Amino acid sequence: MVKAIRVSGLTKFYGDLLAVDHISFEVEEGEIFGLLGPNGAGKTTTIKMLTTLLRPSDGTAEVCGYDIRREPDAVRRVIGIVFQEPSLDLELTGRENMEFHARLYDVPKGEMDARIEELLQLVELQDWADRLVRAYSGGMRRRLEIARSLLHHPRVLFLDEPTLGLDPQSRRHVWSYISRINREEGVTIILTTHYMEEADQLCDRVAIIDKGRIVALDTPEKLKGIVGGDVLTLEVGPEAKRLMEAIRRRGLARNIQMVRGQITLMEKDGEALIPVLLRLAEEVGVSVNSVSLRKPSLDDVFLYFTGERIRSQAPEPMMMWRMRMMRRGR
Amino acid sequence: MGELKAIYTIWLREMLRWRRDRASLLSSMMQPLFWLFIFGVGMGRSVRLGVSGVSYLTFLAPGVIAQNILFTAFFGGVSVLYDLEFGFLKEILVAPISRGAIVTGKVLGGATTAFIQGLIVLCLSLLLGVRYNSPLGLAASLGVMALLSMAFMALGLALASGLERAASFQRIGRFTTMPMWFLSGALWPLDQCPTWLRLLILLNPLTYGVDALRTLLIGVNKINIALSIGVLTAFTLIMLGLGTYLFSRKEA
Repeated sequence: MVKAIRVSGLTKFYGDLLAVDHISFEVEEGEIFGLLGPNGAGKTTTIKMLTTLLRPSDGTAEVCGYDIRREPDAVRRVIGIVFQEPSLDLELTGRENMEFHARLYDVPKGEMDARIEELLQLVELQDWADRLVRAYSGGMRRRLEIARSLLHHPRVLFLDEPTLGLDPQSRRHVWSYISRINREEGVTIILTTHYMEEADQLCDRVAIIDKGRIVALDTPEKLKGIVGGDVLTLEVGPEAKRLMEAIRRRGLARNIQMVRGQITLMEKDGEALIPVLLRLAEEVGVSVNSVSLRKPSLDDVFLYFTGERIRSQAPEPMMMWRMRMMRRGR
Repeated sequence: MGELKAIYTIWLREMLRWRRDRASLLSSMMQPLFWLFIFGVGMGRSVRLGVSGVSYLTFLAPGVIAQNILFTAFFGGVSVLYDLEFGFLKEILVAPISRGAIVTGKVLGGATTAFIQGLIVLCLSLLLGVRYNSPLGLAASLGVMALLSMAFMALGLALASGLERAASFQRIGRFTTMPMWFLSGALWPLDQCPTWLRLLILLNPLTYGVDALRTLLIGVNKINIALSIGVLTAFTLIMLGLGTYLFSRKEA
């Protein structure tokens, strides 16, 4: 059976800079597939190569069985794209932007108007159809772009950071459209994001990408399973290194990472470990400002594989103690 | 059939945008008015041309028509770079249409705008009292105006396709269009200047447009019109080819 996408050894150099480093993966038909990674990891470059906007330096890929190097026109006909930066004509109305796209993709005249109406309704923009896009909010523009990308019934839809810069409410809106499109139109979706929640909630499978390479690829559940049962985070400060070495010496956790004065441990029975760690901190004379315990997120998976965080802000903890050490005490 | 539809689609978008942009249409009319009304009328009092029976204003008018076409068409090329900067070019580049169709649609769009503006200048000159020879010449001059519009839109587009930023296009554009205008034989007759200057003028494609328009509109002629039309046609085709080549190397 033909895979929706088959990537083999895809590589892109910008001069000396290796942006995408021989990546390979496959996407099944009907899947929502996520490329998760920090800015500059090579996600957008990958998407641009898969959508024929950039020529690969090495390797290739097939989209619906068409080779991106040898058959770019055939690839363009079966894909839809929503770019990271908006690609609308602000001086045209929403409907005119849609009509432009429909004509370029040769959507039959008889079908065009009904299809545009249907999609504008899907993204709830029918009342705005005849206003200039200039007047749209960021979220509305994104929704219009999603609707536009579906006009020609693409088999694979590429979404590059579909919710970048949107407020939380618009973000949830866009998520629900993406799931609906996937269900109702049967479109395979490949999206890039640096939001863990987005990958976690939307995607059937996620490839974690860092410095141009795929470091892990699986369902969000399985990826989080790799990390283990609990994630413990200790806010320490400048003395973090000393405490971390002590924890290592005792062999208290199988995975331990330090990012800017914050120690993260991934271990099965996190709760039982808290008093042990605090006692150890006392022993080595390091003060711990706070301890948090939670279930692993994809950010922790990223940390586990790369030793870095996708972004420095930690998600909501399951429980949190603010603990001032007694010595500083009242 | 797909190609034609693609060309039409690209052209239609340019027309929709242009129709909304009344301010720029009005402001682009100011320059030809200035040249005809102030320069043409003012200079006309003190200039005696070696051309019999033709006032300076009449002599100047075909040149101002050509100039307005040059400026409108040439700077129309920048729309590719605005599309690039506003992100819309990605939408066009990723569509399953040929680069040649994109370039042709863009050129036809910009050329239509320039042609209409040239037509407006023609009407303005009539209002200012310029009298042209014959209805037939007037009709034929429309063909030359269309050709001029294509030629300079293709030039502008080829330049824009070789650049990355709209700002650099504007800078280079000012450097290019000003000499083209002054070295086109639009302001003074070709045979009344030194040889080195005449050589420069003959290297300028605009010269052939001005002369062809003058031939058809007022019957004053320095260059064989068949040669002029041949030069303009060849120039247009070369620029279209160059533009398509440069454009297809663009990565959004």
